[in-house]
Amino acid sequence: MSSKVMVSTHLNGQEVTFLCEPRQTLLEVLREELGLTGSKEGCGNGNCGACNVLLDGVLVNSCLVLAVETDGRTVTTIEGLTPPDRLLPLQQKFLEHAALQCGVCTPGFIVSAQALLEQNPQPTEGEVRRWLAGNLCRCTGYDKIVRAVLDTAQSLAGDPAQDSAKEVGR
Amino acid sequence: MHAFEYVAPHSVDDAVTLLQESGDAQVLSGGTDLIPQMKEGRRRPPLVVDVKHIPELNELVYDPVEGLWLGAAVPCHRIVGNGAIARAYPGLVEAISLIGGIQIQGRATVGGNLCNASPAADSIPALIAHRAVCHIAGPKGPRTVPVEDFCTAPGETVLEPGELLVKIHVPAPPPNHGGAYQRFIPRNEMDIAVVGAGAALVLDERGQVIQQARIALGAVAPRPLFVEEAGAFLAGKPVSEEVLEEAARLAREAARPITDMRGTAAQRKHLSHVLTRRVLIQAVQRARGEEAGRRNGHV
Amino acid sequence: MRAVGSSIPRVDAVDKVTGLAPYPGDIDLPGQAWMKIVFAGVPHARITRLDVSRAQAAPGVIAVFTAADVPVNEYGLIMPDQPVLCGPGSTPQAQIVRWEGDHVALVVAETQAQAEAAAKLVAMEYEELPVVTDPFQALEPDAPLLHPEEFPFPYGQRDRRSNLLLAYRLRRGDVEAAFAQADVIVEAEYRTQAAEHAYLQPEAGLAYVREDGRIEVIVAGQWMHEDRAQIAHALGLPEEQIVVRYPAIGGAFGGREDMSVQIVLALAAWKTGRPVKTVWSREESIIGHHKRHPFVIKAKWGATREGKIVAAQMDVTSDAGAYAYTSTKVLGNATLMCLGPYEIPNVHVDARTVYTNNCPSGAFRGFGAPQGHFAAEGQVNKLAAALGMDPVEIRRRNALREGSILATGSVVPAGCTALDVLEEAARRAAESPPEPPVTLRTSLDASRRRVAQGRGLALSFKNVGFSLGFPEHCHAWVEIHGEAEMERAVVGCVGADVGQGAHTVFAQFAADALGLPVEKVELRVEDTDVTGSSGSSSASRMTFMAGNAILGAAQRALQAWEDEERPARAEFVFHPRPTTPYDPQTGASDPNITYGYCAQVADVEVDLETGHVLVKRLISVNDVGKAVNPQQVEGQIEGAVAQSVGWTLLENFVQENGRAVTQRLSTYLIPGVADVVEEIVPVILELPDPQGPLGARGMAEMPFIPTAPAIAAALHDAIGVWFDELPITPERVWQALRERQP
Repeated sequence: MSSKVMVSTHLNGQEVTFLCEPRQTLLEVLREELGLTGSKEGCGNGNCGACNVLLDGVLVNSCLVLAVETDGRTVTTIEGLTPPDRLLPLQQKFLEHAALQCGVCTPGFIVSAQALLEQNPQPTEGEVRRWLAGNLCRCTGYDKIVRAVLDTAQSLAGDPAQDSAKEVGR
Repeated sequence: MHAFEYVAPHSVDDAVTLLQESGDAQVLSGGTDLIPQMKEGRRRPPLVVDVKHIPELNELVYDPVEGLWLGAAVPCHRIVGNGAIARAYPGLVEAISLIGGIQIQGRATVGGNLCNASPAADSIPALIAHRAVCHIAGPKGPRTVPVEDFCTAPGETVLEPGELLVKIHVPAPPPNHGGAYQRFIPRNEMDIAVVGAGAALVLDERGQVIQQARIALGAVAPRPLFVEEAGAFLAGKPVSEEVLEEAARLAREAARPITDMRGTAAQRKHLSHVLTRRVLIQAVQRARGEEAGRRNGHV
Repeated sequence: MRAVGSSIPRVDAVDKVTGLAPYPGDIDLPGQAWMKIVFAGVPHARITRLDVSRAQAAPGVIAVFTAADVPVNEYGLIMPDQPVLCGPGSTPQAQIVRWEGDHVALVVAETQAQAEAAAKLVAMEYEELPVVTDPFQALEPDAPLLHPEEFPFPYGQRDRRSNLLLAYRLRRGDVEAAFAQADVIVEAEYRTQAAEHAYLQPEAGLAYVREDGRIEVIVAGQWMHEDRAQIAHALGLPEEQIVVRYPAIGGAFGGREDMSVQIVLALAAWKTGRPVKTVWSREESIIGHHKRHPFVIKAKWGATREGKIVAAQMDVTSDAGAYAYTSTKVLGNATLMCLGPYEIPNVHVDARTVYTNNCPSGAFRGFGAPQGHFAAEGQVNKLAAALGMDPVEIRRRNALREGSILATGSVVPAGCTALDVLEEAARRAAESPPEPPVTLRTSLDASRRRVAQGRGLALSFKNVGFSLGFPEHCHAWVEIHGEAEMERAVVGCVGADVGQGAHTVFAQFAADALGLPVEKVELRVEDTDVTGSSGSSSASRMTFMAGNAILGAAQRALQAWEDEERPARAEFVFHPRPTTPYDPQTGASDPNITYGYCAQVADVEVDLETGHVLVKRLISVNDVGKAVNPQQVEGQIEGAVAQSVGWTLLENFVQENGRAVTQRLSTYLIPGVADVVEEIVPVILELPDPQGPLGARGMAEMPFIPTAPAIAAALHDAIGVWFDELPITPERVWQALRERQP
């Protein structure tokens, strides 16, 4: 067994230091060592997107990143994207549009779609579909997910100064 | 995954030394091929050399005269997101944009796509069509290899022990240049090509005569296939449906596919023909300025 | 606004969009050990020796369990024909491996990595046995026998010298005489493939011995009391000794109806005294759980010039795989559903399900109805084409209606709305322009030139609830709190929310019955201690059964409230009307409680050069009786259609000589966001089912069923070729186009 390595990462707004083996993926460390289980392992080889996180702001599959690679870098997970006392407008729209069923793919879709909206606040439907093509959902048929993302974009454009998120009991 | 050591050198020399000392080391760039392969036990390197901290491998420079310098560790999203590069090489960039979904694009690299040497790799036929050249560092000094000679068999390349792919050079597109890449998959997005076809050509000033052309195919041979004779046939010919059709037929002739889970040999032969014709048409349109680099999914 | 009928967000939505909802793999227990299950890895063999000594000596290993450690080494939902662990030291039948996914050993270690490393050290010595993977070959006299042993068989006598698991027959009228009278006869052979559920959450779970001495198993399933019964049986313990708890469940679609990790987790926790956790990889999930049945259906149907179907002769064979799972139940459905929702006076069906060394087949959304309808609707569409008749008109003349007699000789249950969904689908289709706007979405679109377009229709029905005499019931209780005014209510009902939204529906029914806001209804849905069995979240039954149970309990609780009980609490066990099994000779029976109906119209576009098929639009008309939560109903329709488009065009679980080839989501392709229908039009009809709670009928499977035959009909409309084998891949379309050309 190889020796463990000390890794310091800016994780969800905090400096986090952890020990890991080089063979451990970021997903494994998030879930097993750091207790952040919002990122899901749906396939383990980059086909489903349920483990998506942002690495230095770039969307990646955390199952295809070695945890040691994140030393000195910034990682944002679904836990870090979610504000402490309310939902993101995008999350609220997922609720309103019933854009989730079993919910295993949902954190990955939220992370992906949020990354899209930050880079392209007014995507076309084609752009949304292309962006989400790496996220698999087996329950919804995707239509309500696409509507939720487009509706989020529209509502943010209509009222850019104010978050449309309502207070939701957490 | 098996246990291994991890190092992240900051210079080409250090990387070459590490690779040379540990004969079985694997280079980690985007990891989108290597990490699944290690998970499946198909590769068990004792040492993983992360090359993303080496400045030369992160270089991405486009100059209308010098062409494109593409560092081997540059992730796809940087290339696809670069408007100047997308305008200069629409055929190459659309091939690169097909390497996985957005989250794969955030990690995967063209260098990795090349070094993984899959016969079905999307970027390689387009690189071949665009006359790209690999720049390699190694214990015996640097050398260059045209992309069409880089892959030797599924998963195998010309890289000798200790050698490292540093960057890829793509010549500047001459005037009236057009390129295109298309692949066929059973899904509409996100899959490994059943067949891929890349083409690049240069027309005369009036857009009527093909001055030069290069065509390459993916997933129809043990390595990405440069169909030199199809391009040679086109050189000097006026653009016509018949001429493009004949080049497509030559591509079909050249294809030596196998039957596997993703498709039969007969279907792949047929698709070689169809896709070659389609990319040639698209390349001609682009060379004539008739199509403004419309990309996959961007309507 | 009434709670029933309003599209409130799911009760678990906030936890799910934030990633806080705990699925089994997300839960840890203090002091937990990890378990790795060793699969057989060979499809048919006699294990002569299992050497676990090296695994036992490996770092961190706490225990290794083999067949000898299982108290009652057998299990099965319908019949106990499967060993919990295969290997020596147990029963004679446990020495045989019949499927590569059979479990042979359990390695329990301090960490996941240690368990995985040690599992590789388990050495299995075995004699290979001949492998049979084709159900027709398996029926040959010299075929290798899968199950010569005896086990309790719930269908009378089983011939232990045959791989035939069960056969059914339906006889009505005189098909030969009717064929002689028919003006047109169509014959075809339909083939459907094995398919994988591919729920996004692979199997996982934990088990531990509680302070009260009972074993608690935390797992994702579809029927917690049945899980409990099977765990208790294998461990030789009374059911009261076991508690099954379901946290959030990451999809099921029938794929969690049979045991995966439940029994072995309980065994490991019980034997070691440690909390034990296991999580399957995607590959283990795909290798390790059952699949949709492959079917071969030979069909011969006759009709008069006027379009009256006079005879249907069907020969139906399904591949059960290595163990029974729910194959006999799926066969029961397919035996009836292969006739479609039509009244046919002369019927002759022979149906059978056969053991092979393939991955076991079992429940998957539709449960035999999609395969049956692929044949039935293919036949009706071919008859229409042969007669030059409109596909709607031929169905109008034959569809079941109130009072129709089924092939089983019984009257179709009241509330038959096959014609209603048909007419609505026809109306919607007529309203829709045939050519929706072109949107460019794929890499091939830019220069796609030669395309053909077509439209196709199919109609379907599907039973709600268990069939053919299976005892059906559902428990619930309701507790009303408050003093002068009702303040809140608590509802106990343990039907599994596998993602379909059952728990939200429970709260809506209770709120509606009590006149409380939904927020004032607290749910107790977590484990087997809450109340009695709800039955399975399958067969489109949970809204129907739990709705009736909760309404019944609420009425009694309201009575108790009137009687000034505080809190006012009442239980209710809903028993639907009984059904009866097929008569072995004729199939005479009252097979099902009730049915749901669905009609679909598909518009497709075919690339004539590559054979690539795009479903441009799909109109799905569903009679749901009462849409308890219309938005969730739409979600079920859209999700079912997406899955069915995958089954129709893309998905294929490939096995070679009993070994899974498509083990990953990179080779077993499910539809992504770009692969689903460009425009799905979910249409909800609310024609009450007289037996349903507030009229609701089951609906979640129904929109899966007509999709494949509707797409096949649309392809025929586009290119003039019938596709009778699934999946209709680009390669098959291209081959057909090539053969079509002179």
